[in-house]
Order: sequence, then structure tokens, then C-alpha cells
Amino acid sequence: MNIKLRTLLASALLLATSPLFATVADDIQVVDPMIRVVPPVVTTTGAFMTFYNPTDTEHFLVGASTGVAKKVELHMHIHDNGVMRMRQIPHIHLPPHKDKRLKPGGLHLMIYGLKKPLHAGDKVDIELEFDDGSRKTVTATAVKR
Amino acid sequence: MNKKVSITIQVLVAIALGIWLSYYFNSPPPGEAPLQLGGDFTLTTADGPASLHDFKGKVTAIYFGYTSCPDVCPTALYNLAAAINKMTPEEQAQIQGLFVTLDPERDTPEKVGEYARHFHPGFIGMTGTQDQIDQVAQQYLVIHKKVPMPGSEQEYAIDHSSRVYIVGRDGKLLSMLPHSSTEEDTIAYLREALAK
Ligand SMILES: [Cu+2]
Repeated sequence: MNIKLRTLLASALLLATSPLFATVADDIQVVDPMIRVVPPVVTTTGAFMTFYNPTDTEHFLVGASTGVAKKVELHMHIHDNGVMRMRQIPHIHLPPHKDKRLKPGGLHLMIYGLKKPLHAGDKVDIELEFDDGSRKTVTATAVKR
Repeated sequence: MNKKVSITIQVLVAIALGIWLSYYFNSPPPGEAPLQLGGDFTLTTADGPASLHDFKGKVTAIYFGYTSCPDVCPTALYNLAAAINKMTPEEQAQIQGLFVTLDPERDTPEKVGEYARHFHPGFIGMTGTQDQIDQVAQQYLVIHKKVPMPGSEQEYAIDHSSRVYIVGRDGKLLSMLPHSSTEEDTIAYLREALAK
């Protein structure tokens, strides 16, 4: 192998593993994803998880979807002196080097049109979409709480 | 009208508004429900009409919400059920959980019934006409407001107070537990009500 070719190969390898090629979905870590078991008579539920953004750049979760339901929206709650006000939001901000926790009564993934009732322990795949268009699938555990 | 008078009126209006707002939005601390709140009501269950006075002799725990509430209502109801399940069988037999919908338009008696039973087999779901629901909500100072959600899959959500109301064996409102109450708080207030 001549030197020129070897250099070319080496730089190609370097490029492929360089952070320049990492997507937001690759970078953002997702911990403890869960989806809530609701009475079978209703088809709306919520999903919760904690995001960690280890990068120096702010990022955004811009959407989500799942095969088990018709639609997933990003929502938040405003607590106003005991009154809970739920609103749809366009994205969830993931600040650099910080955790962002989705939890009951706060930020959540709102899931509409469950195709069948969930049971505690079920595993549900949820696809998350980030600001650069990259996606990643997490597996949420169904919890009765 | 001279300038001084008009300013005085503005100040008075501002003060009156302030008093009204603080009355309207300040929830009393838990355990100290004002005496004029609460009282009897009759609504519809999957098994026909039911009134609060039907449960006289028991302690009732009432929660106001709506079934398409994905998050806040299940949190509160799972918490209430978990608290009750941690009490002794004798205590449990003397407690009645009630779920009153704030969304009578979508929540039929059967739907609220099934919804309530999911959290605890003994819970009873109640609905009624919009007027009946508004009346009960007013008695218990439950703020509720239908909010359109344009662009969402859900046509509207309902902003609402999230509290558990504990009513004594005599039908009198004893305490209002805020949404942030833990299982332990809930058990403590239920036990206090049982002891009365
Ligand atoms: Cu929501």
C-alpha cells in the first residue's frame, strides 16, 4: 500500500469517528423512560423520562411518535395556585450539561389514541426527534402510578 | 369628575380587585377548610343517582377531574388509592372515594364509573348536567375552565384545581389536600377524619 492511500484511509477513518458526524440523537442521553397505565376506558396517557445533554450546545426535543398510539405531543403544566393548566408546547429545551426531567404534573409527552390498553410492565417504543432532525428510539416501561 | 376623585376610584377598584383575586385564588392551607365550603350534592353514577349524604357514617375523599386528563388526575387518584390501600381493612371499610368529573360533556356515568374503579375497586365515579357540576364545583371552590387546544389532538383541556377533599362522617368538609400531598399526608388526614 502506498503512503498516499494509507493517508487517505486514515483521514477517512478519522472523519467517520469525528464528533462532526455525531447527531443530536447520538449525544442526548435518555434515562428511565416510562409510560403511564390508564383506565382502559380512556385512550390518552402520558410518558415521562429524564434527558441529559452532555454537549456544550443547547438542543431541543421537537417531536415524538409511537406505534402504540395515534399521536404524541409535547406538553407542559403550569401550576397556578393549585390550578393545573396543561398546554401544548413546540419543543422541550435541553440546556448544555444539564438534566431535563419530564415528570407527572410538569413536562410530559402526551399520548393520544392508544390502540390498546397498557398493562404494568409492558414495553413501549417511543421515537424521539431532535432539532437537527435526528431520531432515537427509547423503550418505556408501563407503570401503574 | 376631577382628577383626585378619579384616582381615588382607581385605587379603590384596584384594592377591591386585589381582595377578590386573593379570595379567588388563595387556597386555604390543608386541614383548614373554611366552614362555608362543601355540603351535600346529588349527581349521577353508573348505578343511578347518588348523593353525598348516602355515605353518611363514612369518611369520603372527593376528587374533581376529568377522564381525558392524562397526567394530573391519575397522579392524584393513584396517590389516594395507594394511601387507602396502606390503611387497615377496618379503616378502609369506613372510607369512600368519589371521583366527580368536570367534563360532563364527554364523561358519561359508565365512563366515569369505569375510570374511578381502575384506581380502586371501591371508588365511585359521578357526573351530571353542566349546571349540576358547576354548582358542586362552586360549593367546593373548585376552579375549572375549558380551554381550547388548537392544533392538538385534544379539542379542549380543562384547567382545574387538583385537591382531595376529605368529608367527615357527618357530611361536613374537614380538609382540602393540595396536589403535592404525599401518601403519608393523605393517610394522616384520613385518620384524623376517621377519629372524629
Ligand atoms: Cu398533556
